[in-house]
Amino acid sequence: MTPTDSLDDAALVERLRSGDLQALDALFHRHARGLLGVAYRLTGSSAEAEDVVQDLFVGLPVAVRRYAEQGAFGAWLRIVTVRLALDRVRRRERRREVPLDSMPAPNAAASSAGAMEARWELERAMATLPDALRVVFMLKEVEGYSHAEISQLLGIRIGTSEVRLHRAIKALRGALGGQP
Amino acid sequence: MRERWIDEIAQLQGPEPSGDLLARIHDRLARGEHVILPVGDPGRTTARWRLRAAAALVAAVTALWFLWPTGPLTAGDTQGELTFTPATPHAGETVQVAYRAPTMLAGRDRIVLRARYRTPRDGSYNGDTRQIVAAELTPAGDGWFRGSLRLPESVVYGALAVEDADGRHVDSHGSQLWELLVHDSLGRPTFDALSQREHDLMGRNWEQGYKTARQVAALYPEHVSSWHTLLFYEQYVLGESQMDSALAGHRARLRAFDARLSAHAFLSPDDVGDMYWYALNLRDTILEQRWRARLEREAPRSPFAAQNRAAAILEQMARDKDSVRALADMDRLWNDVGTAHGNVVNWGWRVAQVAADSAGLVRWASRYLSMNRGDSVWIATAFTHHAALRNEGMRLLRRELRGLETPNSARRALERTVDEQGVVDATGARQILVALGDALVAGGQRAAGLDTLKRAVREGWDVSLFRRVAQIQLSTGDTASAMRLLGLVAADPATEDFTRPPSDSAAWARLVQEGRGEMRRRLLDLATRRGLPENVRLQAASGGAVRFDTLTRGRVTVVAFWSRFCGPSKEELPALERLTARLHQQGVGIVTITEEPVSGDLRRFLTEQKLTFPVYSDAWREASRAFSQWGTPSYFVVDADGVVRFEYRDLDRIPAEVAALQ
Repeated sequence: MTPTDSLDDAALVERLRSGDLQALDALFHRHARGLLGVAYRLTGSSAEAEDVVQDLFVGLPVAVRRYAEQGAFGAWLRIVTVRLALDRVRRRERRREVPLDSMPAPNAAASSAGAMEARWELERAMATLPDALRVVFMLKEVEGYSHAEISQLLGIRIGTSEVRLHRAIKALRGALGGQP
Repeated sequence: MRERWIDEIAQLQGPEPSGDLLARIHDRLARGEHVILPVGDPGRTTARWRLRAAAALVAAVTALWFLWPTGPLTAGDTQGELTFTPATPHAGETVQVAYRAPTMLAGRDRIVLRARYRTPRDGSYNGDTRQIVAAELTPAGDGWFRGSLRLPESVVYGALAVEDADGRHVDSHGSQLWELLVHDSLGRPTFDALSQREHDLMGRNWEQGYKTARQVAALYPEHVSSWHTLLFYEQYVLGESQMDSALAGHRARLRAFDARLSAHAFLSPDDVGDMYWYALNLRDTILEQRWRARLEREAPRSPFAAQNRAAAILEQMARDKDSVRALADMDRLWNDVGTAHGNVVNWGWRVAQVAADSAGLVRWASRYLSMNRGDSVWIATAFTHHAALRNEGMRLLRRELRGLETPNSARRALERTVDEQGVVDATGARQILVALGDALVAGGQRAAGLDTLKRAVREGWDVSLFRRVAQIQLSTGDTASAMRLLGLVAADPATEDFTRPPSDSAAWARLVQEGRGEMRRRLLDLATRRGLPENVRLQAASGGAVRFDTLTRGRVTVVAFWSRFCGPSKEELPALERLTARLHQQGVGIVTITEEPVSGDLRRFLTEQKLTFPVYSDAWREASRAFSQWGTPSYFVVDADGVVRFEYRDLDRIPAEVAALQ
């Protein structure tokens, strides 16, 4: 355990502001995995998710100077990650690219063959969703944002966000073998 | 109930971070790389904003609980409901249109959807834009009309309004217009669509323009132009004194962009120009000089470089007074950069005028008009001031006059009926007649000139026009006509700096008296007559609700919509204060309305600005709907019966309009 591991986020942010890169390492160890999940769910690509998290931590030493400490630092990191990931998705769309690993590799975290199969099934269903629907579904159902917040993040109307969520759930239900 | 599989998806774990991810981060940091993170961006709500919004919501809900109106205030007889499918179209897509008509447009065989379309290269404001019929809508039962339109491939933004087939009744969505923005396949409005929306809103609604600029920066933070546009709005809307915290953020962002972009050997001319412009507006002289040098080296024909080159020619001319050489330099610049920047033609035209070179004027007029179609009267008038071009100027003025006398749907703004456009065109025609009369007199055709001038001031109420014509008449010896016009000028209560002409005092008093009667007749000819709903509520300074009609009934009332977050509106507040103080003493009712809820911040602002007029909040948006009002500042004069009679944006006209109704 390093001296920084015992510090809370606020103290680490304060240290990072003064240029202590050990604080960056501590924040990385504490948050990177969760943030990678956020970015992965939105981009659908583990490589792009890593790029997002990499960009996030490269930009963090400067960005924390403007962090206003108005809420939990973890939540702030999450919203910044969401924005970075959405930016990736949008740029990818402009280049008309598709994620390289839209069918993700088996994950060691799945403990049994049955669980792994179920996980594959869910991820396969997610991979069939168009970006526009997957992003709204993930933001609402997984990240817990309200439709109002999603409408701000995506620059769409609240009603559009609601419609996309409805369509996403319908499509996923169909892909998972249920009644669409 | 939430389905189980949704929870299972939510619980899916993401990939494990690669073992060397942290090392790669450190490598990039060691190389001095910077990434601008989308943090604290303008689109993000702040805790303070949330608190204010929550307070406003509580106030609004509480008030609604106690003051629920007996019948809901609806869009009523003039405002319908328009929907587009898809609402987020792609470029070139066909859009289905459904419109539920209000009483005003119900029962027609067909109605028309008009549009003002914009492409990515269109400029700010709407002076040169053209309106077209985008679709015809036919009855589809139950009061609905349906039709479809296909967005042209080049179009990124459209503003739309609905009207009857002959353009006598227009539903402009309460002056707000409906909108179509081209979206990308992710469902987001494109950068160009939002930029053109911001351009279209200029002069229509600065607050919405500012919001759009914030949206652009939030959605497209990687574009430098997103930020210098936002900076422009912040400086204009917030004012320099409120800019300290925002400026610090902009400066950090500029440095980060600089760190990121400097290393790139190949950048687009737009990127280089935007960096230069951002640095210039942030007064960062070091970065400004560095990017300017790069702009001149790599993109000498780009807009900002072209502007700088034109400015250099003007500066040289100011130093050496050699307008002939400056004109030759401007011609060479035009041949090199063409229509790259509006200021090349603005300044080229100016240099041609200084040089008094007739051939140069004709050349630059044509170039100027290729970029500013709406300014043809101004150019033609300028021609008449040069003896060699006077006849050509008069020919162009007559052509413009004929154009105004011919109904032209493309020219008519979306919000205006054919009749309202007729009033606007008549005003324009009067100005052309004055220019034409002036030119005729200058060209020695005195009688024809004086007749034309008389025609110009026969109708309408434009004091500055009366003054100008009177001046020309005095110079020709037509003193009687000039005195009658000066009587009109003196009759207008807004006239302050008036030197009484030398004349018999009784005769002069009679002229002014007649002028007052004439003013009343002319203004009432122009007046409208629009009733207001009875149950419009406003929030008083105390926080309680008050009915609008109780504030106005029985006396002429000036109603002013303003906002402390709109640059033009804020600029006019001192004049509004002076005017309302004067009118209040004359027994005129004053109701000023702002959209924001009554708060400590608002009260502090009023105290700091020394504003004493009564302020009400349109907390329930009932007043703006009742007046079809959108965008500030806007002023209305309501008569003693509570009927809207004048609805202009010109503060100077209000004293005369009030006088006409008293």
